[in-house]
Amino acid sequence: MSSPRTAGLAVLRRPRAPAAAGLLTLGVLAIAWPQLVGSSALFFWETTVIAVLFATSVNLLFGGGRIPSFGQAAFYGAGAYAVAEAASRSWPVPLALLLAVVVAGALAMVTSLITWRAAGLAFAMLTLAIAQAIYTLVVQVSWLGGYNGIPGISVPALAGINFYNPANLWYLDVVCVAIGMLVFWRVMHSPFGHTLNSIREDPVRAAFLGVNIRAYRAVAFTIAGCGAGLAGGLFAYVNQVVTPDSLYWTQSATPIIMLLLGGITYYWGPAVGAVLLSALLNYLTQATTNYLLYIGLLLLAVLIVMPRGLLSLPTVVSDLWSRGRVASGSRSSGARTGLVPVGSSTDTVAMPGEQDQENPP
Amino acid sequence: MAPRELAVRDLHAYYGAAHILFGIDLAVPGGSTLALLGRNGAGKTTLLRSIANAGVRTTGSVRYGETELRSLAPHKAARAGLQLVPEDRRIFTRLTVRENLRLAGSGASPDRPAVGVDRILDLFPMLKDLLTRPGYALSGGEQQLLAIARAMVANPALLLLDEPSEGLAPRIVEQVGEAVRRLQSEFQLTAILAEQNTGFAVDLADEVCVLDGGSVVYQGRTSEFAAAEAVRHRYLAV
Repeated sequence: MSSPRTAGLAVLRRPRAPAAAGLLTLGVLAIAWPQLVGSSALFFWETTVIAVLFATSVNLLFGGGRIPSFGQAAFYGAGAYAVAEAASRSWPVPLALLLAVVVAGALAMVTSLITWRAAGLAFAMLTLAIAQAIYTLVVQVSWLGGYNGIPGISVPALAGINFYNPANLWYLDVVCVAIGMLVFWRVMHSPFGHTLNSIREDPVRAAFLGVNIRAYRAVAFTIAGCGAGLAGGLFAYVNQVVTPDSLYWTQSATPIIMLLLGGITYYWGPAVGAVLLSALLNYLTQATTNYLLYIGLLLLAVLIVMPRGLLSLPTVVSDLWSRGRVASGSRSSGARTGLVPVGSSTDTVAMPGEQDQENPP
Repeated sequence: MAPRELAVRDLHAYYGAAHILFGIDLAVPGGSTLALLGRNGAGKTTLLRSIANAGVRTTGSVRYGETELRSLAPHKAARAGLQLVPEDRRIFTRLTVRENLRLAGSGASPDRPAVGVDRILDLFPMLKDLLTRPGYALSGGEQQLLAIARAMVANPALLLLDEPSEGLAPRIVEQVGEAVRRLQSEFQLTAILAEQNTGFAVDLADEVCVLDGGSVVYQGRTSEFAAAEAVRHRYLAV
């Protein structure tokens, strides 16, 4: 079986050596993982890579376009329920996952149209309200199993591959996540992604350059919804049961914590955060009932020391190091005390101020 | 499509309760450049922002050809051919020069298709060496050239430039002037150039309008303005 991680290499325009080596390592690890960790731990790792995809999809909104959605659980859950329904009708795996993506994407598109005029906090609250409304609706629908959800989801064999073998289910999971990650990489590095970044940085200026901000936000929201749907669909296969918990608001909050931990401005930030948070939850819940306290303290510490997330650690360290050098340099030569070599004022750019007109008329 | 006339009629502008512009009447013939002069606080920036419908409450009318600009959302105004280069330039600092230029193509209108980034680079050769540089690493002059070049990618029919020479070294101001001159000869556009640098603006303009205290106190051809000693002394001398 070819490595799902290295599959991305062909599409990268200029694969730099370290990036290629990193992806190759991930690919080799993904292939060897079932042998390395043993089949009993695979379930944990399967849910972790699903969380990586889910968090990356959420970061298209938060990191890509400063679109604060607190309702992504709706699309994750929609994908999970879609796969549960498809599996009960013995649909083949690719078709069931496609259904998850389409259902979640359609639901996200409708949500983006409902929230068309809202931005900022109002948008965040609307997405939360819509997701909670969907949760409340689903627990009352008897054919979706109410509070009990839909149990006994099985993965039908695909091209002779039997997914009762835990390693095969892991490979299915990893291949689908890799495809999803590749799509998000392409989206974030496309002209569409750049325009989304411009909206994040200065929505007013972007609008005056001719960017239809609301339309871009809606498209980004729909793409993110598709990603959440794929993650939810995979989770249904891995977990073999879907409950309304997958739609609950905590499911929307988890990926946000992950991308805050890893770093909102980095492509790999959500992935790092997802692996870290999943691992911590896994071990802390076994060790203590106060695990949420420790998670909260960790998040607090990271956000205070590294507001841009764990991946900003090299920047933070090099900043501290150069500041230390300037300080010691100024001590040794009194004449330069207070001078910080950051370039002349005309050569630096003032960051644009906070926009008071987040959503122009 | 040929540039059309910009006609401002009885335009009043307000920031909250503050009344800033008092019944501005102004006509800029299609294809010509107007130098908008006046001291600090005369209302030049507010007038440009009122024309572009950029966060100013206004009454009156601003017509570009048959289009009433006051009722258009910003992205629609851009697609109707309007581009405003603001005083603070507003370069996207996290995008490279090329990415800044490329995304401005979405402002092109159906009857005036976007200018290719390559053609814009021929007009702004200084930017050619900076294409992969992120916006935050540009000097003030480079930012100003990029801001003008970015606006031009959308091939606007109506270009509003707010103090393009402000805060720049004289050599850079010359380059900005050269760039504006090339735009005037290469593209058919109607332009307003708001400036405190009277000499710089008059050199580039066909018409002159002087604002004072939120009202138009003078309008005429640049040739006539040269003789209007009293106007220059009363409203522009520092």
